[in-house]
Amino acid sequence: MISFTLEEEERLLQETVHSFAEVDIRPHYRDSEKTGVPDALRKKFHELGLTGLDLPAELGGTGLTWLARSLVLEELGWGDAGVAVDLASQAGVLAILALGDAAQQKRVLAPLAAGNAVQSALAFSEAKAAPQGGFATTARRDGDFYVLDGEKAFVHGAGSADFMVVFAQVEPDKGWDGIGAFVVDKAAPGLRPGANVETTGLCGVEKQSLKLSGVRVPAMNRLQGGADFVVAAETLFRRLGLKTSAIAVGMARAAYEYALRYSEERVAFGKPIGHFQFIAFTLSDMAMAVDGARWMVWRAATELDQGRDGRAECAMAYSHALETAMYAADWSVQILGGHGYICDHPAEKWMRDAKTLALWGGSREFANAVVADAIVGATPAACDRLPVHDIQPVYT
Amino acid sequence: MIDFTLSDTHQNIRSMVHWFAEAEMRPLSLQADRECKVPDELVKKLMQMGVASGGTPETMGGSPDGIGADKDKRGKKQINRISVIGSEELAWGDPAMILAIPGPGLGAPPVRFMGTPEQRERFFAPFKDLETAHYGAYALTEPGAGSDAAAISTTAVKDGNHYVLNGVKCFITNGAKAIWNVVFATIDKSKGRAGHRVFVVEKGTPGFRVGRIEEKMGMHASETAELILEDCRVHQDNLLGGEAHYASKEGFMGAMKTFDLTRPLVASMATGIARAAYERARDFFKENYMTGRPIARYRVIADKLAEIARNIDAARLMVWRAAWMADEGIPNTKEASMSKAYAGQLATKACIDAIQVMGAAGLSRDGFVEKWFRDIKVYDIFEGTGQAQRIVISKRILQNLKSF
Repeated sequence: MISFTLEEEERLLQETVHSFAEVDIRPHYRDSEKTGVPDALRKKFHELGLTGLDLPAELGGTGLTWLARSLVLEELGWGDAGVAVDLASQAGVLAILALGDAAQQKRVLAPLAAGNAVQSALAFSEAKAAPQGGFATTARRDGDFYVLDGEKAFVHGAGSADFMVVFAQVEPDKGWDGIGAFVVDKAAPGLRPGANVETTGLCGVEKQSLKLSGVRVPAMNRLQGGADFVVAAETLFRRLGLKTSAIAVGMARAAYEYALRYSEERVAFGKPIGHFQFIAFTLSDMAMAVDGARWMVWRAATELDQGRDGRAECAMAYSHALETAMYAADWSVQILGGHGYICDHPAEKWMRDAKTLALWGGSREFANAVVADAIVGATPAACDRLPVHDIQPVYT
Repeated sequence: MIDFTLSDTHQNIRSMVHWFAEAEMRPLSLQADRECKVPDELVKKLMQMGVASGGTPETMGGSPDGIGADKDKRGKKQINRISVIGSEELAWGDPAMILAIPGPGLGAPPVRFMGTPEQRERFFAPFKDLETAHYGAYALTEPGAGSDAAAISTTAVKDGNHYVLNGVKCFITNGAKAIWNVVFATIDKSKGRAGHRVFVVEKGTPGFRVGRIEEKMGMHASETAELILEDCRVHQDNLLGGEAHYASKEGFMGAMKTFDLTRPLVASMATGIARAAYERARDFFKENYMTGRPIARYRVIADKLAEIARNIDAARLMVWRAAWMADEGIPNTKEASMSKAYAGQLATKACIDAIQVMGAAGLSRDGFVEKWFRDIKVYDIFEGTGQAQRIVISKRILQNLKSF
């Protein structure tokens, strides 16, 4: 039956992560934008037991439900969206969970399961579209190995991750139907991360290109994706998108709360600016947007928790949450006026972060296409089921 | 536990009400719009079905006085969730007819919350007769006071055992056909809300008459009446709660609290209408865009559809949240207004966009979408405009905001 009651342990988890965000993350938002997540913070996150956020209990992880993870990510996003992405995105882990078989999951995720602070990456997008569709990066079979050649782009943590999952073209003539994915160790010869790419937002999160020249990957590192690789890859992006959505809700909430507080303190024409109707109504709209986005994320999370595929629900949550983040951040800047635009306040950072976050693991247009295909019952081609780079490249 | 699934009971209610909306309301919808009245045959069926206040048939826990089987097996209150689930389906059937369903309507909550046991018994009694259609109504708005309810100027002057009422009420849904109207008046305008008194004015009371019946953009099947009170003598027994009730400032707040329950209800109706329009646009899209069209054209329209779909879902979740809070006894004034403000605005946009998806076909008078577009606009106006909702929300998120 319809209920919005959090379980006691969920509430406790939320409180714990909120205080972590409030005490350890938010105050340092300028520093973490410049220098990334400090080791001490990463350590603390690890000590909270959250490094294996997505790992099921049987693999030694938290075993948290998607709903609980959404709570964690909202609070982290409230603290700092960049830090949240850096600490908790773990796109490589998600990729192995979605695409790998039980043996691969156990083997690759063993160090994480053993309690090590392992970082992972996912190399999906490429800078240029291949003329025939699919990836220009190729994986050629050579005995017990695959040999990977090409260049990936927009990869979070390409330079620092302990392992990464690399998407490449396995069957050159088949376009998006001929793709595959491989687990690549960071020490693999021929693997060269590019320089850190500077972006408008999420500046503390390192993002690189990744060159692969004759990288030899054992055949057992190919992730088969079960019965249908594209379906498994869809699952991966659905989950990645849901995590981004939850972070976006937290960021939107932070921007709203900040503007709310500011408008109660800032006095103009003899009264707090929040007491002018236009500002008050805008704040009301922001409050509505944040709540609505959260319920969308929660609903998508419960869909996954109940074992359904949540295809439309996750895409709706992504679209709604990312739109809300941009909307709330934009108005946060606007309500602060000139103060919003300068770096004394976090509002301008939220606006930059929101824009960047909206291309993290997906895009609103991609999400809307997924929703549209789901509601009309269309069975789209592989290129419409994944956030492919020949239309709109995304960060992963 | 966070749960967005419907219980079996709720699912059954939804299916049953949806069936009724589809089989009985939709087919008569366009006719009702043209004739500006709900066909008698439908009213008869509604009576047979035992539909009472707020769109909740007795079989699903509704009863004229709102008291009854509104709890689940474990005694947890669920009437508000049931009501919003049912109302969404009824409004999906027809946005105007839902307001013309026999019963005390919006007049029920003030009688229920402010009335004495004797008054509840007396005013609800006629609705227990399931053979004849009876209506109640709620008369607050005046030509000079709408969202600013505190500014009403209909006067009430005590005279012996009676009060003498003078003033004009307008835009009163079902006001003309109602067997009684809940009328808000003031005994002293300078006292603002503290001077308000709430009366049940019965049809036929000397000095009470119906003025004009409004012609509107939409909602044709729903009657919107002007009520005129000229030296209308109302017995003191018809003062809701009796004079003692107004000694505390709870009096007015009592009236306002009913909005906490009715706003999510109206928001759920708006959601149902938005969904109806969206479904039409979706089906049109399926039939007309999905084959042989340029992919870009498909995508642009698909993007619009996807956006409508998710906004409808967001609205419903906000409605459910407000209703859930009401069931749990958690104060929900802010959330009720949020659901109403969001759903009213979203639904209007959804109907406009549905027309856009369908192009000229969406404007045709033999279709439904243009009717819903005309009907829906008032959902962002009545039961407190979108702007009035934002005043309510503002006062609850800004700590020291008393007024603008």
